[in-house]
Amino acid sequence: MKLRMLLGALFAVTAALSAYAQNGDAKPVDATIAELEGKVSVKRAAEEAWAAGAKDMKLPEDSEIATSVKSGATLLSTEDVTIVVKSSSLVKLTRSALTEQASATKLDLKYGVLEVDVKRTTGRANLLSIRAPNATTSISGTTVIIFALGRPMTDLMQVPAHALVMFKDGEGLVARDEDSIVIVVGEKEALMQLATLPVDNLLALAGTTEMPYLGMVDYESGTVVDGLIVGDILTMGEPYAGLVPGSSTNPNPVILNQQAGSILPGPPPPPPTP
Amino acid sequence: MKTLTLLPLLALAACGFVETAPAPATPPPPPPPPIEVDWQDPTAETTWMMSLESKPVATYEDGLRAVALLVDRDLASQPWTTVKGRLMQRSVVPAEWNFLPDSPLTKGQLAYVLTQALAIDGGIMMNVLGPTRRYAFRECQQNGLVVGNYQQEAVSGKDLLASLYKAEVYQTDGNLDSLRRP
Repeated sequence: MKLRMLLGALFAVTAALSAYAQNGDAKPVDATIAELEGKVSVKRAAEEAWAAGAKDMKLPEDSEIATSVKSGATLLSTEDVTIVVKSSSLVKLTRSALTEQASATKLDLKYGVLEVDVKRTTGRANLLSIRAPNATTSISGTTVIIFALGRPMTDLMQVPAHALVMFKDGEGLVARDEDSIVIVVGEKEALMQLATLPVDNLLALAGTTEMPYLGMVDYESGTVVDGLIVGDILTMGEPYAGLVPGSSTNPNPVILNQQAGSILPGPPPPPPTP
Repeated sequence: MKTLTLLPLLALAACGFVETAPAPATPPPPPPPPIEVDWQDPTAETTWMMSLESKPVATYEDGLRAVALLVDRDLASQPWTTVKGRLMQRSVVPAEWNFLPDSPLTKGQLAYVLTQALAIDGGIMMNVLGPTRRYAFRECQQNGLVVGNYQQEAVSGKDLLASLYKAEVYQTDGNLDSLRRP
């Protein structure tokens, strides 16, 4: 009987470890309410009712947070990611996970305004995905502000749909798939480290299936400058050494503007013609 | 002979010119049940906002409670008659407005109460003729507090949420410059 129980337990542990490994070794982490102002309500995952939010409250994946007028909350998702939920907003934390090399945070902004700042303190590359209806976006450095205020204001900057945007100076990149904005922020080394992860692990971590387009953004003004690469960043082979080739999304990426791709190690410049 | 007469009709039917019986349409999904707000609950304000998100048309009561949140947070959770009465005392709502609480909120009404609550002076016409829905709407349309083309248009729940956020920014900064591109 004892042997049966032992075998059962062993089987359960093996199955759990197998599932863990299949998920790219991504470990879910709870977000923490670091600061709170005014009236903030929270619906933790697997709970039916909304309750008043409190400082230091832990929010697991699939929790929601709503703020009223003249209210706000600051969440710490992973060590590097700070999310400021502005007043009159509703956000769902759909993903908060990390591996040794990278972290992933996914947010679903139903309405309101969200300000996300990604610091680079741990050396990890950070993937951030924000889904929002009619969103307009403002990017300054590593801070991204998403406005979901009903109709978009025409004089706010619009990040075009289906664009993967990269900061010019190589400090980060912003990607957008069909219905969300994926932002990857990190130093060159961290990005390269991220790029060496197996594709499936990375996508499992990010919770996305593909990263279809890549473009450039002017780091200073935050405006989109130029299309860079059409295809999956992770499928780029030589001359982008270190990136893992092979993906079902686009095996043959088209590089539109190699010159602009200075964020990643590019081909050596051609010798000057005499 | 009869067959000959029917032939063109049959040909037209085959080409799709003759209307055939439409396929049975699948009934649209039922709308989500309205969210009840218990204003004594500590999460009432956020619950009310979530209810706005799914409303195609916000009500007059929604508009006044939104403005009450801006001018006096505690007032917003009071019964409807108290909210309306206090806002009338503050001249945010004209005394002659006797709209039903569940009547649709128009952009003119929202603009009027916002200009009064935020003490927006407006342009020459608003100063000469006094605050009216027409000129309050033009003022709010220009400064971005209210979106739309006509003051008679109904305000959707999402538009009211957006106006509420912008009004709060306006209340703090005196303008909406922080929401615009630098």
